[in-house]
Amino acid sequence: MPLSLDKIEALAPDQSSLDAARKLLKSSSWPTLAKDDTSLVWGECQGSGATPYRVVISESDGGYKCTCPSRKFPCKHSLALMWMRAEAKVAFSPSPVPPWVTDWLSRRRGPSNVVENVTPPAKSIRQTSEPEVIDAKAEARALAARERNAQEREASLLAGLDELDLWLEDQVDSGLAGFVTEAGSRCRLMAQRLVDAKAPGLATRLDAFPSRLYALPEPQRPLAVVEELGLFHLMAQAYRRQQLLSPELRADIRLVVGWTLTREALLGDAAALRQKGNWLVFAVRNEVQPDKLRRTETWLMDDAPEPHLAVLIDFVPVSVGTVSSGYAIGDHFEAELVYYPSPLPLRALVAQQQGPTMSDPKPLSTTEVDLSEAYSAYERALALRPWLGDWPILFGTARLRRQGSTLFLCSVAQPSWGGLPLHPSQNDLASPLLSLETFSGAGIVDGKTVWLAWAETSLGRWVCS
Amino acid sequence: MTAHELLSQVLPSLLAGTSRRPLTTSMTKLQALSLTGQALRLSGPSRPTDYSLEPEVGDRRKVVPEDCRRALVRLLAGKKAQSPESDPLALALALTLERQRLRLHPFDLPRLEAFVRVYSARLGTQAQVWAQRGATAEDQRGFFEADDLTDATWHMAGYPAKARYIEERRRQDASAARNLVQQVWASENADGRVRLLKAIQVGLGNDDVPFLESLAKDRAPRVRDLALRLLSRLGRSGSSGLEACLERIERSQVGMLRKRPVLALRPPATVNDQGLATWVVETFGEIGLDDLARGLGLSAFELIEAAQKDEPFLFASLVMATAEGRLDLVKAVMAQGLSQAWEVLQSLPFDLSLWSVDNRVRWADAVVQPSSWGPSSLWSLTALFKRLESPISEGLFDAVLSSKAWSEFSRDKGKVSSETLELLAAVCPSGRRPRLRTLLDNFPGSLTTRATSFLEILTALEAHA
Repeated sequence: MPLSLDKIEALAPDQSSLDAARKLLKSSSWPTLAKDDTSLVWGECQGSGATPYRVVISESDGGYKCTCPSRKFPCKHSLALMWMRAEAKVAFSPSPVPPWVTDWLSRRRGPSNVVENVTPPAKSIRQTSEPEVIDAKAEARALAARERNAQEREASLLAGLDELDLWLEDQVDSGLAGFVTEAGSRCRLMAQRLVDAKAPGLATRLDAFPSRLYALPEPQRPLAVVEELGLFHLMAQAYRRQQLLSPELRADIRLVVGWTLTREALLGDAAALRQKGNWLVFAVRNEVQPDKLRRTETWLMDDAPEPHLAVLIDFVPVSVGTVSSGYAIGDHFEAELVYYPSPLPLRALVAQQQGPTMSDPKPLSTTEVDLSEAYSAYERALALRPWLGDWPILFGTARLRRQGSTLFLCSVAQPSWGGLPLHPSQNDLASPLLSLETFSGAGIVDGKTVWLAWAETSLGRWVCS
Repeated sequence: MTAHELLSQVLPSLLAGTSRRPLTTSMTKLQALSLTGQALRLSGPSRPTDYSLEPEVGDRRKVVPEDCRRALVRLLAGKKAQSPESDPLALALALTLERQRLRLHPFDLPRLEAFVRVYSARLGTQAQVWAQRGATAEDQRGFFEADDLTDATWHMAGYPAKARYIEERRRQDASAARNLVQQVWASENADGRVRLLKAIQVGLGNDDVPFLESLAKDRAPRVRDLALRLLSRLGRSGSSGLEACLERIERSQVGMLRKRPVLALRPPATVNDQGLATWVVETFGEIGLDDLARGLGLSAFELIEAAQKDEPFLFASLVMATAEGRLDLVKAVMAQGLSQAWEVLQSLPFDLSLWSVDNRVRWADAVVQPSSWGPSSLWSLTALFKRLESPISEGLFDAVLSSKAWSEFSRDKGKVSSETLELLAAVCPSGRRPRLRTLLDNFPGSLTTRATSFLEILTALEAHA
């Protein structure tokens, strides 16, 4: 089925999809545009998310697939790729078929079916319009409105933090040991209040706390309550005193509480930390949050002698269904990342990807440090950012040991240092590593456990996937 | 306050509740909460220094080649991962790995949990260890490769390996094998005794009579019954099985110059057409064909010839010949024109496990007649494959593809399913893979993905062998 503009018009679900696709007809939005020698065409499109969307088209039977969460089929990315292919104004590099395209082919049920007996809305490529001219007065009015809303939100937030403090005091009065049995209901109520106070970051964290709490062994739970609730007061105080904090810490606590920094604003911030490099994806994690958003974390490290680390975070409504990450473990690509402001920059966006994403295996470049020394880096990070959540560590030597039913990632250079408990969800997957004397790798520490992401071993590479 | 003081003096109040146990510090409650929480965070998780010793598991098999791993995991961990026992490709791969003495990469064992659990006995000692990792000490069995077993160690293996060892030893030295069984007999549970007694069937002879007679007082009824049946096969009294069979045979004579015997089966009046095959298997399944013939004053071949006009009797002769492992008698029965034998047998409980794999394939060549199949009989290849534990012969494969059943099936696009094509791939002998690949090209890719991937894996495994 050679692509033509007529066919693309017929496929498009509506005019607005074609309008949106037109805006993507810039090769600069597509770090990857490739084809094979049969009929497969694929590309990666930098959308509004942290990771690019992957799009593939089969010209032979009209099949297509995009990793974006859109519920329109075909989505604007698929339409844009078809459009560029049909117009033939942009070059598609002949390339070996990457694994994510092979995976799609293996899961296909058959050619995409055209819905019959339904009159589609009228749509036309000719009618897609160029971007509108900006109205300065309207912009000024919108800016004033935004500032007004921000002030109202600040006031609401501070009131919400006062309410949070009262709630915390109540818990301390009645005893945190008893909190454990009622954590679910108590946290849910206060989280609702924080949502109302427009502090969604704190609300999500509090709402998610009970499930993290119950995942811990029972003896550890009361102390975990002390830690977490203590942290909430610390964050509230930090927010109240943000003017006394460094700019990075101030920006950080505002993001933690729930203020958002849009992609455009971050990319437009000249002071934002940027880092160019060849980035390797060493971990991808998915989690469904209590607010029904699926959070996807893509962990990266570059190939500098002292590697830089970053995490890309995307949120997609659960109702959209399972959407694969833009990147898979082992992918590597040249890109410039821009970091969200923080005293410990970690969360980032891909500002500009140069060139396609490669999937061929590349070894993890870890430092020579032992696990014990790598963990010290986490402890230093904790001192700089008291509400530190997950933190990546790279180690040159470690081994896995067992005590009872718990696995531990242990120091090799200093056996007396002991080991960090492995995240219980990894017990089965990591068990084969028990037979190995030592390995290097990368993990993510949350203060209680280490989640092993990648290990380079004498038996080859082990990844958590 | 120091961290130690916070944990020793403040923490108890926080846990018990400050209303019951007031703070003894000038800090506010929330300051105390935050500082104590941070003290806990900074102290980190407890890190033990004593760990379990992991058992060393030797496995002399070579690991699956690296270039096959990904395809293997994708095939076996895909949508059919949860029911590998009903997936012919899973069985085919397990048999291939066993035959080529290959084992899965240790890192893939967790990803192929269901497959390993079902087929661990064929996948090497590491897989067996993995499959039993949750079992209690009483339920765990020793982990031995069948090739590594000796007369000194055989009794420490799991039951499938023990039974196979005894069967093999019976072929070499029936008396020595029987002595091995007698040495461990008292320590085996009922299941174990039944399995070992079944293995004694290989090379059954008069030397086994004293041992079989000693089982008349075994505490398990199943063992006693099996021993009686084996004795009756040896023509010993104590079983009414042979007499019961003889009572059901009607004998007459034909011929003018030379009288030839004619035999016919007369089942009980209570047995109808639907139940006839089951009755035959239950009545004649443990009787030796030679014994029956001797009881009629004939040789086994004369008996078969005498039964040529009576399909039920021919079928009974086939059942007896199969139970005894007599390929020559099987061929003689089929040469009399018995039709649809496989169609009837495939759903009945008959045993080919005493046959060598090569002879099972020859048995199938003699008994299975695809030319008489209806389209639904194609599915009987599943039962055949499970019994053969091997691809079928090239001749039989050609007969399947030349059958009317296959041509009708493959013409009807609505009937063809990926499962049918996967079944063909599983039973396909290596010499017919090119033909099968050509055939698969005629079907949509969505139906042939697994079958094609399977064939590629086999080819890659054989290339490395």
